Amino acid sequence: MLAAQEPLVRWDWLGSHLDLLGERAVEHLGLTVVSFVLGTLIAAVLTSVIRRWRWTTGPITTLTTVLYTIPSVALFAALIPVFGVGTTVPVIALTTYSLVVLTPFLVSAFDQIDPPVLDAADAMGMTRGQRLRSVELPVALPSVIAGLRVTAVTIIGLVTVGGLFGLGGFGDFIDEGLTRDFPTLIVVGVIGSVLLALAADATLVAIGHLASPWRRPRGSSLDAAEAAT
Amino acid sequence: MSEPFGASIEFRSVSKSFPGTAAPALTELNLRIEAGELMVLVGPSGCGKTTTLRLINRLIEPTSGAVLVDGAETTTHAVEVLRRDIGYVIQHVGLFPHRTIAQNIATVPKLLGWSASTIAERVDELAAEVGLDHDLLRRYPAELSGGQQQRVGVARALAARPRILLMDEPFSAVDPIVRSRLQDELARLHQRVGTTIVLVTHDIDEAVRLGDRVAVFATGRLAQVATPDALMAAPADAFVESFLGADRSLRRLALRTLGQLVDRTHTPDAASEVRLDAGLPGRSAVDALLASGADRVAVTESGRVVGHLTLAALTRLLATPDGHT
Repeated sequence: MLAAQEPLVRWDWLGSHLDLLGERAVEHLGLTVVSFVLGTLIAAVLTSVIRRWRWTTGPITTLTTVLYTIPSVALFAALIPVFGVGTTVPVIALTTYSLVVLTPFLVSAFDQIDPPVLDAADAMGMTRGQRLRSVELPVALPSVIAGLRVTAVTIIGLVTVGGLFGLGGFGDFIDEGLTRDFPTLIVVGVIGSVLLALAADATLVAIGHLASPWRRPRGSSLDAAEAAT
Repeated sequence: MSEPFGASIEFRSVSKSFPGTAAPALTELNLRIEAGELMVLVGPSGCGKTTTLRLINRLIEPTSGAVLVDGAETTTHAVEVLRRDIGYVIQHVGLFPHRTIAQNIATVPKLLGWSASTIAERVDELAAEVGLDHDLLRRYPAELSGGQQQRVGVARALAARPRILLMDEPFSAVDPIVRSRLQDELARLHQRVGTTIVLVTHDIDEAVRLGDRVAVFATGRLAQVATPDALMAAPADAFVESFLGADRSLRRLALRTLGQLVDRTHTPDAASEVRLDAGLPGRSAVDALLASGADRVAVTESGRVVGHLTLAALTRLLATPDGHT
């Protein structure tokens, strides 16, 4: 129970700890980016394995689902005795969650490509690499971005959980705030990670928007075009 | 026809079985398609016509036998090299949604490393060729109607001047009016370009309308290859006969104009009889005879009667294998 006289946010604390705020933000972002990138790379490999050898879908899906059911708190707690306190544990745990969240998105992003489009690409005489680069990746991109958004937001949230184990980031504020019964830290920790999640999401949306001009029809001029022929 | 620069295609004892299916998709196919010919493969679904088409550009590999293009086995060169010289149009078009119409059309020239200016010139030329408004070139496929997309599909397939054009049910997703227009345009395009065209359809009307020759497929086997007229005059077996339908005499008459059928030896007379223009299809004479109850109709050219047609004369024409007098 919080002391009645303690305000929700002590603005003077906030003003005098801007450097600490920045430090935690960098930690949070750093952990997120590293595990996000690693997770994306592994998910990409798993996706190409699944697309190449369809029978691997079952085993890979089962594995990622099982991993996903491990509560994050339990995973952090289990890994710390093995790898000690440092960046190894959060990176392993967060990378695992990244690939677990992202792999199904990537597989379905490529599965959603209209089969005639791939048929046409083959029939035009594209090599496998040309087809992947110039057709599959760009066509799947909007769905890939959707998966990346969910992954980024999930990871940012999990980094906050990692803070409870002294792994840095905005979660540290929350942990400390709970221990010291100091609500300002809790509020700062929560708002910080929410803002970070929103910023990451907005960035990915913007990238997707810029990279997929074909998804933004310039007004429907279909009827005019139809009438002209 | 312009200089036929199309390539010939030959199937030598080609069989194809797909794993997990009991009956082969294609059994011992022997078929030669001449350079510059428009060959239509027709048959019910599952008869092997699409398999046959996809064997040509090696989207399907034969279980046994060989496919030859201009006398050389299709396995001689890398598959990409073969495919870049074979245009391919499918029912669902399969335009690349992330590329503009111009970029879609430019696909194969770009793969072949043409210069940007040559490509731009060729795209403009093709847009005109298939009747695409120039303003559409900068749009994306989703912004076009079904008929327009199909034209883009044809333009994309023809972009690098392939010597063979493969078309798999190219017009079955568009409405009948657009379909009929696209069919006419294809016939004219074939006359102009001289590419060998192999077209798959399940629509016998489309087959006899477009084909120089028509290959009728029954389940996994070639039942008959013949000109449309010969096909309808003499179906090879009961399967072909039933596939052609009960009105093949009328279909046959539809292949000719009244001007080609008319008996020009009769002296014109009787101002009151039904007059039909020589440019109309043959079956319109049957229609007029039935509707008027008269025993003959007059055929006119530029308003002048040039001869007559009677039901008896039409019956005699249909009795001759080539349908000529």
